[in-house]
This record gives sequence, C-alpha cells and structure tokens, in this order.
Amino acid sequence: MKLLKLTHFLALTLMLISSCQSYGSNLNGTYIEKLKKVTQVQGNGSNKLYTLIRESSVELEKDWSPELAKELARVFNELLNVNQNFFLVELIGPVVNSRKKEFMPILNKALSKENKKHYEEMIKTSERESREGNG
Amino acid sequence: MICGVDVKMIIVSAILILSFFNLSIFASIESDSHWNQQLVEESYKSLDFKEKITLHKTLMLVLERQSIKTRYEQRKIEVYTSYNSTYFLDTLFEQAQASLGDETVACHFGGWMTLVENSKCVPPWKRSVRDSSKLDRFGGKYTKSCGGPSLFRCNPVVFGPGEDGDGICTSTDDSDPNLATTSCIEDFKKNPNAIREHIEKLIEDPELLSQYLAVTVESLRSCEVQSDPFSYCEELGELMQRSSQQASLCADVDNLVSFLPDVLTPFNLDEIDEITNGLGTRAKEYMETLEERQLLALNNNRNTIGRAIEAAQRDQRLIDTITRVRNNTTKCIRDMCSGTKSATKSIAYCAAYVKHAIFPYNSEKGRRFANFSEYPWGSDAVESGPWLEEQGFVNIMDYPSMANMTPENAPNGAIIVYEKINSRQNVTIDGRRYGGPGHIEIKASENEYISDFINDEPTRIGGLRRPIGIYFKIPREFRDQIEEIPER
Repeated sequence: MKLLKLTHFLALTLMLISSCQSYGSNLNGTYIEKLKKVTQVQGNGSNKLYTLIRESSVELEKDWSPELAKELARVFNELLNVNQNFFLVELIGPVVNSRKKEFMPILNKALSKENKKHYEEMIKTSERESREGNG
Repeated sequence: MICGVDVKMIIVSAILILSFFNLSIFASIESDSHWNQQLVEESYKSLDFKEKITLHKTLMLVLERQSIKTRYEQRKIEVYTSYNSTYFLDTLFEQAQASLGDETVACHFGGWMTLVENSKCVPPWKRSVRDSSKLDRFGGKYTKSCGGPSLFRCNPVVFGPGEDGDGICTSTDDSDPNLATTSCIEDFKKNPNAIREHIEKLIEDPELLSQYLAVTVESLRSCEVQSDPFSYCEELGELMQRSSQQASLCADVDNLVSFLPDVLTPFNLDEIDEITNGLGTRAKEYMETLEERQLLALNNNRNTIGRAIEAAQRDQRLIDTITRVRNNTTKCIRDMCSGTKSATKSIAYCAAYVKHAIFPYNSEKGRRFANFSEYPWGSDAVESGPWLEEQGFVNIMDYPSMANMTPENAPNGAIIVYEKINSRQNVTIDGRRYGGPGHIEIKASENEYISDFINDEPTRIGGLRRPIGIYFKIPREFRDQIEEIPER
C-alpha cells in the first residue's frame, strides 16, 4: 500500500513539474514568436510594442532563455533607431537588473554603435529624473 | 457490558479505529477496501444518537492514548470527550456536511456565515473566509481572536457584544461548527437578559438588524439543505427566527428598508419576506427607486460635466496654454537643456514644461491660468493634483459618472497625471501612496499628448505609467450643478 501511495505521489509530482516546465517554455516561445514579427518599428513605436518588450523582459527575469534574450535585444535596438526617449530603458529594466551578467553581452552585441551611445545617455537621463525629479 | 461500554460498541470502535488509520488508503483504492468502509458506515448509521455519542467518546479515549504518539492536541481531545457531539465521527464519514455542496449556500459557524469547501464548513477565522467578499452582506468578519487555544469568538451580530464588546468568547473546539455554535448558544443564554437586550439593540440599529436577518435566513437555509442537520439547527433556528420577527416588528421600517437592499439576494427574498412580513419586497422596490434616482443623478452630472468641458475647451487660457506647451517642446526653457531640442524627445522635465505653460513668465504671450509668481517649485508630475486643484482644476476621474474616462478618450485640453509603476520613490497625496516622479501631459489633440515632448499616444510606456487624474478647469457655476449620488 505504501509503495502504491508513493508511486501516486511521485507520478503527481512529475506531472506537476513537467507541466510547469512546458508552461514556461510555451510562454518563452510565444514572446519569441511575437518579437520575431517586429522587423521594423513604425513611427515612434507604440504602447503595444512597449508592453511586449516589457513583458518579454519580465519573462526573462523569471525564466532565462538566450533565444528570447537575443530577440528582445534585437527589437530594442530597432526601437532605439526611431525613438531615444529616456523612459524606454525602463522596459528592459527587469532583465537588465536581475540578469545583468547574461543579458548585457547580448544587448551590447545587438545595439548599433550609435544606439549604444543613445542607451548610455538614456540611462543617465533616467537616473537624473529619479534623483532630481521632473518638476 | 464491559466497564460501561457495550461489546457491540467495542467491535464497531475497533473497525472504526482501523478504518481511521487507513482512511487515505480508502480514498485511493476502490476495490476490496471500499466494501469495508461501506460496512463501517452502515454499522454507524444504524446507531441512534445516544449510541453515537458513546461510540464517539470511546473512540476519543482510544485516540487519547494515541495522542502521545501523534502529538494530538490535549485540549482538543478534552473538548471532544466532554461535549455531546458526534462531530469527529461525522467528519470521518463526511455525512453531516455532505449535503452542503450548493455553492449559493453559506454555512453557519458560531454566529458567522462561512464558506463551504469540499462540503465542509470552513472555520470563520480562516483567511479565505475573512477575505471573501461573498460574505460581506452578513456584517463584520472574524478578526478579533479571544487570545487562547480552544477559545472561539461568537459573532456579536447574532450573540451580542459579550464582555469586551467584540463578541462572547466561548470555550470550544474552534474548528468544529457544531460544537462552536452549540457553545455560543449556551453562553448567550446564560445571561437571562441577553436575548431581550440584543433584540433592543437590533431595533435601534437598522444596519445590524438587516445583517441579523441575512444571517437568520441563511442559517435556516443551510440547515434545511442538510440531510442530517447539525444538532444546533433547531435551537438556533428558533432563537434567531423569534428575535428577527420581534425586532423587525418594532424597528423603524423606513430605516430598515433602506438597509435591507445591502443583504438581499435573489435567493433570500422570500425568506426575508416571511420573517419580516413583506419588508423584503418593500426593500426591493426601494432599491429599484434608488437605482432610478442614482441613474438620473449620474446622467445629470455627465451632462453638466460635458457642458463644463466644452466651456473649458473654448476658454482662451486653455487654448493659449496648449499653444505655449506645444511651442516650448522645441525650446530649452530655463536652462534645462542647451541649444535647441527635438519636439519628440523628452529631457525628463515633463512637469516643468507643463507647469511653465500654465504659469508662464509675464513676458510671454497669451492668456494664463495663473501668474508665474505662483509657480509650484519642486513639485514632480505625480504631485500635480494639489496645485492644479488650487488653480480651480478638477479631477474628472473623481466623478462616478465619468469613471470610464481614460487618456485615450479624454476630450482635448485634458491635463493627464500619471504615477510611475514599480517606483522606488513614493509620495502620499490625500492619504494615498503613488509612485514618483510620474508623468504629466496635456492632450492637445487626438494624437498629441504634450509635455516636454510630443507623443502621439498617451505616455503609458507599456503600462509603466498609470493615469491617476484627468483635469479640467471647471467653473464654479457648473460645479454647483453637480448632484450628490444618493446612496440610500
């Protein structure tokens, strides 16, 4: 009887773990797919695109995926081509802050030389706003 | 008879004890063990109430010995062995509460209405019950403990305030609905004046009485749906029904009718009608009239605010403010940057640029809302509400009739204030905390949201800025026309 109960318990645990894993990878896959569709940013970008970038960044913070990180960095570079507003750095804040070691080399590789400069300036402006306010 | 216990009892006890320790096996194996459980259940069902009590106590005595091994709480054992209840056995067979499966029925537990989970009454002190909005209509929740194990706080709505004003503290098993309720009834009745005093209190307080009525009809319903009702049902039902009838007979009917809608549901209307001689239906009619009055006031306010906004949009001061803020997006005002700037690029001074448009230098063209001498120095975007209100601006989002307004559908000329999400800086405005420094912008046209830069959509930054205010200057004459939304 004990053996039977133990088997049941193990089976349930394995099912739970495998379902969580597939859920995680599914979410990663969804974001990769959506980001891949962004080949060029229209206008200055939009709240819809910003939301996708932010959510992908949050997902990377929780469940690291090099492929998703590459896609996110690529799209962020596309965004900086058309919009260099300082507050956009907040969109990738979650992954930059919690996965700095893994994500920064990927981001640095994806950003063009010009956008790298823009990104540094944006960070400085963002820090200044936090420090001194906007009034 | 051996030591006062029947032989039959010992045999059944032995089967029960064996089955108790193998209960989880019964749940997973259905074949041969199922027959054993059935046998035990049938034997148990054939006993009368007194025999069940004796069996219960015998079983508890056996378990008491087991408590040394299992560390079962001694105080709980004492409660189980001293009360005339078969709760332990009932729980074992899940009989008494098995019919409480209807999700619309709450369960009575020491005066409190609680949730039913897996056909069982959840103790009212559990977080899931205390957090449940479904139970709000029955009054306060179990938030004040009696400060000791095996002590239970009876609901003051039903059993009065007790000694400390928060409800009687009774000594019982606080996880057993039957024991707890029985104990509350006993303690309540110990004071000969308790019932009369409580009815007087119910008569004086229509809100309390409406909650009492809700608990009464729900308790009666929860007892009715059980095939084998809790032993407290009869006594509790009689007590509550009688008190409800007396109190509602003497209460101020108009007052009571205005509070009854808070507790009415499609399921309890008939029962409340029966106990209160038709006050349920009167309360329903009152509620329908109230809703009509509320709708009328909302429509009137919506029209008034609409007219006020149209007037505000025609105001030359707003037109000039929009011109100023738009023109300034290409300028570096007050040395905030050097040279010229791009109109679509923010320099992180949104609040300064919007304030400057509203409080311009005296040398600047156009009509103004306020003089530069009144400029609110140092105020970040998120803190704009107070100074805007000082200048006669009104947050349209505060009006229930305009609750659906968003930056996207706000009329042109709106000044929109946002808080920052996930901010490390918090500011408190009117007792509420917001993330700073936030953002502020003026909606100049359908696709023009202007601060220190021009954005073609609201600056929500993918959800990282949340709108907390949409402001317009509303003249006094319009504000005076806005009606209070009747609550009762």
